[in-house]
Amino acid sequence: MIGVPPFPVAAPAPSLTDFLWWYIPPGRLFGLRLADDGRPLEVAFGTVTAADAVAAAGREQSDGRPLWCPQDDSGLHGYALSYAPFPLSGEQLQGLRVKPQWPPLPSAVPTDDVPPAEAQQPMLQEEVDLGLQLQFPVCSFLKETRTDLRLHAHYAAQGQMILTRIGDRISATTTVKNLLPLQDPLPTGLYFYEAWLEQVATDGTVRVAVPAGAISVGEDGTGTGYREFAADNVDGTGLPIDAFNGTAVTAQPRESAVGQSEYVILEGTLPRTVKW
Amino acid sequence: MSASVWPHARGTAPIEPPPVFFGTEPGYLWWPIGPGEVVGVKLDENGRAVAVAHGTIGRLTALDRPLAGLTGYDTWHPLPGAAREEGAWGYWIAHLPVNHPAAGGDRP
Repeated sequence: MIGVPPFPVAAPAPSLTDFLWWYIPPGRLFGLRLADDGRPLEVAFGTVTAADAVAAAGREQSDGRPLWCPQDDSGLHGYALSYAPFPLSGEQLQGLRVKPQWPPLPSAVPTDDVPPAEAQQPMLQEEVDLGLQLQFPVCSFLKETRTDLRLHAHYAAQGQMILTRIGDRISATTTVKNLLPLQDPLPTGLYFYEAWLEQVATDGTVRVAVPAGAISVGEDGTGTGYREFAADNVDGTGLPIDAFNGTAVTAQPRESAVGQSEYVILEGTLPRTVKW
Repeated sequence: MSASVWPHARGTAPIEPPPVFFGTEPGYLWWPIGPGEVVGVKLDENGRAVAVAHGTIGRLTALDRPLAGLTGYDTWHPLPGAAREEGAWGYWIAHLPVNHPAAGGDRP
């Protein structure tokens, strides 16, 4: 809601009263936890999310802090919450010479009428049923799962993985566009993008994920990754290529953040009807 | 990385905090919360939080200033490389003191 500033509100959950909270219309929360001397220790972000979009198992951090809390007594909607340590003190910030940065933005008047990836790439089929060993490339279009790594905020990040069988080898070429380049001066805490081939269970759980090439994204937000696999034993998993039904692109945390899981940026599915 | 079992299930992974940015004026840290929209914290020279700030993208014109400034958007920060001149792109910013008397108000 342009022009309506945030306003202070009570904590969204009893266990979060150590934060000061602001409601940002529409449907967002910002929290700030301060030390006794007023120095920020931690920030928190909340987004209105339907209860059924959040797995019950994912509603609490290991330290007991909520990752989701109900918005009202109905329990149908609530806030998905995330937390981040405050990265710098004011003294550090004042003394730091940093390159001026804002989140990526379109350079001209924003527009939403961007055709979807499918419309821009009509030459590739998503459903292929050849009934014989694959002779043509198969494309898995990748759909955006989080938006904060867009290069241009008003455009969706897009991508596709093209799988081609040549004899007993499968090549995977992944292209992405409109992703933020992950370079050292950017304090994203993320290191690089990587493509994945996945085996996804019917409940959505990713059982096996095989790296399908690191993706170097340039200043224009585009990048490509490439990897080859043995068709009957993908990446030494013992699984044939037809055991994989999903694709993804992730952003990897820096080495200092080992232990954090990858951030899934784009996800896709492989056609079920493909006969490899 | 080798083949692994991922700790997430599709569509149910918890949201992650957005990356942090320094903006173009000293003493602020910013996080993107939507297209052309940021929330930030303003610090004093001793590292204490002075205000929470909310920014929305706009040009340095009276027309782009949210609600003509009536709702508190009284500060403008340029995009990197932009001059502080009429028509330049940047963020219109409202500040909310962290010791706001209404802090701890109604449940959201």
